[in-house]
Amino acid sequence: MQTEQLILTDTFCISHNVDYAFIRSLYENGLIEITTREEKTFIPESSLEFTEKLIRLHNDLEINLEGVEVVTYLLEQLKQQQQEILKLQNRLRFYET
Amino acid sequence: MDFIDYYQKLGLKKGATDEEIKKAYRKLARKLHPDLNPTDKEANKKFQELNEANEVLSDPEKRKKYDQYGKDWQHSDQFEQARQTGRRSASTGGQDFSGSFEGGDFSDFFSSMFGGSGGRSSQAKYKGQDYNSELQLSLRDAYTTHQQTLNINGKSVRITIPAGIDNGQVIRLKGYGAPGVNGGPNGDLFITFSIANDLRYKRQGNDLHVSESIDLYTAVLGGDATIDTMSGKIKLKVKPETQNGTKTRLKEKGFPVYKKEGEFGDLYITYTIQIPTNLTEKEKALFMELASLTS
Repeated sequence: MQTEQLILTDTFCISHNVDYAFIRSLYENGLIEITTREEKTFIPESSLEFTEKLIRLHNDLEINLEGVEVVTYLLEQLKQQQQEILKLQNRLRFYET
Repeated sequence: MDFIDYYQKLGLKKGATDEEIKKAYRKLARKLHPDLNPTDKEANKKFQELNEANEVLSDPEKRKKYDQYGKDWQHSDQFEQARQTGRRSASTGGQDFSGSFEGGDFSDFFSSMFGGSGGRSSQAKYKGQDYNSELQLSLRDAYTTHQQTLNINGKSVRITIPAGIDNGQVIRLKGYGAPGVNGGPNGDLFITFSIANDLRYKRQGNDLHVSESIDLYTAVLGGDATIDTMSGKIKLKVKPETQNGTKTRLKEKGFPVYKKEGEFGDLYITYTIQIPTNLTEKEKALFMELASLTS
């Protein structure tokens, strides 16, 4: 059975100096995953990196929740396009001498 | 250690107001933030420089010192000594510059002028900076699972490169980036593989393509041909009357499929027929005889 590491949301908030309400709203908008166990909320370790990225966008650039959502969507699109470009470049290499 | 023009970094003139500094910093931060520039290898550095400029110019005391000593920053130690003496005699406390601002490691110029090496104001834990690096491989290197030793900031790290890795593919080595801040986790190391074109083989996904020369007589009459493949030599039957440019597929003799042991793409062989040169008189006569038969 695969086990997953969970980080207590309160601990995360203290450690990252972020308000719990913001984490909650990220979850409610479907941007991050939160697990509830025995009335306590946790962030799975697998989504820690992504959650930290959203916090950085919020804290460093003073972007609100809606802005974070748009930026995340556009970054994902950019990533997909870059992968597509890479695939096409590799195909193009085949025809180059 | 070079002088850093913090005003220039923010695109401002020396007399810029606090509001202009704030506005310029915000504008550039949104443009240069590493999370918004994932493909820019210099993004972390650029953002760090921007933070450093903002750290100095948005703090009245630091800005005053910077404006006063600017290009003559080497003398700032004397200034600092004089200032410390003044403080002691007046029995007043003073804020230590080091570790009182946002950002990771600032430049040597900053440390020399303001002391410390930069840090975060709170005790919050932050993940260290991610590193990006490129590793060049030949097509033959990428064909087999092999190990390579990399030197990462003076530390030898042995990594296993799985067979079938693609050009431009990125692998992440967790924890091999910069150390975390305040006990936060280390950053990661991202290695982008650059696979050089091979003179003989062309790769298309997991398939390999190769051009193979056969002599005219084998092409016309059929026969055997020995072909070099990446997994060794193989003997092939060439059908009689094989045309120039004929393509043959050898199943599972191509490139290994990434992280799928025992699975391979196909090898496509395109025959190039070599026309004999420097014909003897007898050969010429025989070709003429053949030509007369077909006309």
